[in-house]
Amino acid sequence: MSLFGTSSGFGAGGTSVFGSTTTDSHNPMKDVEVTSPPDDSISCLAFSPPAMPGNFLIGGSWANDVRCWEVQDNGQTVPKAQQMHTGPVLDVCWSDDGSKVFTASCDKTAKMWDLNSNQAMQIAQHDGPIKTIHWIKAPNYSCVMTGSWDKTLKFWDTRSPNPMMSLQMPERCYCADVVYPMAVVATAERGLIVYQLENQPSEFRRIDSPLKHQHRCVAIFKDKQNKPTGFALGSIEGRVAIHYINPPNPAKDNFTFKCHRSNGTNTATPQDIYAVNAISFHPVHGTLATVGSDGRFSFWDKDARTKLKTSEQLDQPITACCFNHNGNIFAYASSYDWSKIQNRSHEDWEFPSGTPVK
Amino acid sequence: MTVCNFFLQGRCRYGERCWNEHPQSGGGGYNNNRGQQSSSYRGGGYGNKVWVNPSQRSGRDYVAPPSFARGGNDWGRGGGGGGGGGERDIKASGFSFTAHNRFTALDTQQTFDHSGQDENDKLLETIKKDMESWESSGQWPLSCYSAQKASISGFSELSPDELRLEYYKCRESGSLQTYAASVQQLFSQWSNRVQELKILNSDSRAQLVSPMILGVSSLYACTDRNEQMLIRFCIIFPAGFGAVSSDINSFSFKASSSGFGSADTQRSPSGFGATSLAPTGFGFSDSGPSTAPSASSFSFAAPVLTDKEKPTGIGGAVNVSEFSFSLPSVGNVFVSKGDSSFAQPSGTIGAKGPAPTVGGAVSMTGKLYTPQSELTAEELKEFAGKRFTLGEIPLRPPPADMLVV
Repeated sequence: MSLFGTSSGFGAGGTSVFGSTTTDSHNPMKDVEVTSPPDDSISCLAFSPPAMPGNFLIGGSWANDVRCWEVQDNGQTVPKAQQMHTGPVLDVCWSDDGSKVFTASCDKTAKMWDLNSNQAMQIAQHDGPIKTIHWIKAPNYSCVMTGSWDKTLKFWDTRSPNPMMSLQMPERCYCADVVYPMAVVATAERGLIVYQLENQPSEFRRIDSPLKHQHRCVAIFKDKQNKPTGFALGSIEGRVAIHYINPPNPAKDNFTFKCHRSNGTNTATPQDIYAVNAISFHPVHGTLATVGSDGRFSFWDKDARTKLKTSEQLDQPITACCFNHNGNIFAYASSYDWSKIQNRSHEDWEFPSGTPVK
Repeated sequence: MTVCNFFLQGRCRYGERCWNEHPQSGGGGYNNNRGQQSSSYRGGGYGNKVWVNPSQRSGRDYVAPPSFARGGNDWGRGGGGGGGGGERDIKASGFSFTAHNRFTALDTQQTFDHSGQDENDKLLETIKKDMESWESSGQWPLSCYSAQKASISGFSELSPDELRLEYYKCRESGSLQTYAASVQQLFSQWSNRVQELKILNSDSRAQLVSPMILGVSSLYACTDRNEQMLIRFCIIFPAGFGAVSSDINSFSFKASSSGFGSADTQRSPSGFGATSLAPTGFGFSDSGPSTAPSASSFSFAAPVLTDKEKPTGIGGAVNVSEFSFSLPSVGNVFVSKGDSSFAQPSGTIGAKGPAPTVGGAVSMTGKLYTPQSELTAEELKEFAGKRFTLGEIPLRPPPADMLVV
């Protein structure tokens, strides 16, 4: 039952094959399309970690399911397994050894899915929908971190029904990222908190948001020594801020750039501004990919502060993206992200697929 | 060489001939940024004219009584000026760090105190442009917004996912119409607020600007409002939106627009319906009722700040238009009502006209209005006047019939 138009997951081939002159806007980049995609919008994508041989892609969707595909070296995808929640799935992540997948859902629970036995059991409970879930592997502990719209951040040992720790946040958690020993959480009302995870998670710093509008996505990047050193924060206003935690020269090192806007250089006519739905860093090169509501994805080099490539426009917004563990594969999901609350011509508003309100 | 004290005050009669050192560092860069402004109101206190035109210093005794007097007026306004005036008297301790640093520190203090000066105008221009582009660009409307550190109130923050979840829930329960109506309402409130911000007049400017200058983030004030709104969002569906029958309803979108220029009329008792619902604290720059004590304790921190600042311009910032009855022991309660653009439609609440900060603690007696017969002559005079005079601000609420919108 796809009430909202078709939604599909794509897997992209390794070396970029940017589209030629066809008018097919469903897959203009001619990338490999994943077989049996979910029935509703895809909220999150995650590739398996390096500990596991092969590439497995997990995608959670608004159809309450989580699906697993194996992505083979020739680019073909094979659907492997599926699990269900009772509410839309908002985030997924892998454990570090690749044997378990953690899924977070609007039904206020998070589940641990053991891929070998294909069993899923509940490991977390919140008072509100769980928006983010991450696996933390520290030398002296390992746990699952869940951020929720009930304004709490909870840390779970998967064996116990009670959280190991619960931290209060000023507002609803909108996005988070974890690269040990650093975690960043961006909340509503432009809240931005950095946590340090050594020994036990604790709040490290609250940062004044470099952006003016609602936070949408965040991703941590690492320096040359593979230590997390800062993060990229995307907002609904087509802008990404690069922020270093302890830069030598904050005014010069931290910057923001505009992306996912129409007619970028022509400032005379008002441009359309789209939200940045997800940010992902290449594990090897450190370049970043952003995907937006305009249906494009772009690659950027934050050190050279340049844009590397922008894709053709897809017919639907791109809602999620992910690199695999060695950066050979870039996966992105094209599906509606609920961004068209208003009809841009301001005449009347209706659901975007044209279905009139009953 | 010792640094010349008089030069630092801008009063050195020897100029270049002076045997003491006249530090120039920081003056040049300083001057570049503030060239225009410094001449107008920095006053002679810091050798103003000297900084503007260092070349003019040579061979001339520098005395600047006019600007000095004007500077005096500036200091009279208190606040950062007080800091500046105080520095002048410091002899030995003034040189604990270099004069260059001291000036830049004072510079920031002074800009801290501006109202209606160049930076504010630029800020407001930025806000206006942002609003215009927000409207025309089709970007997500249900987002917070901020121009400087603090968020500008009046925007309800909802992420697309939250809205989508609401839709899915409504679809299950079959109440899509209510979803549609509520989204429409949220959207129209957003566009009203954007219009307001685009058409700023000078009064609302001061109110907008001062909270931002104080660097107060409304994150802590707004949070419960949003939560309440979200909760109401879910609860109201069975009752149907648009029905003004319940107090809850009047809160949900009243909260989202903070009662600022909201198109919906709210019943006048609605604000006081709040008292029966929960202890109403008030956020710093919005009048939305919030239920959590944290918000109200935050807002009481705010008055402490404002008391130190000069009364004009900032008094309007604390824009509380509801009384809190269940927090009698807490310090300041602000009686000021905002400017017309921030007027709460239930105009029976709040004093008429902009009122400066209340001088001292006010204890609420728990009554909404005081009957005219109970008020003393001075209080009546205060209420009757256009503005409160400092030191004579009545401690009790005005009688209902004196409140004219």
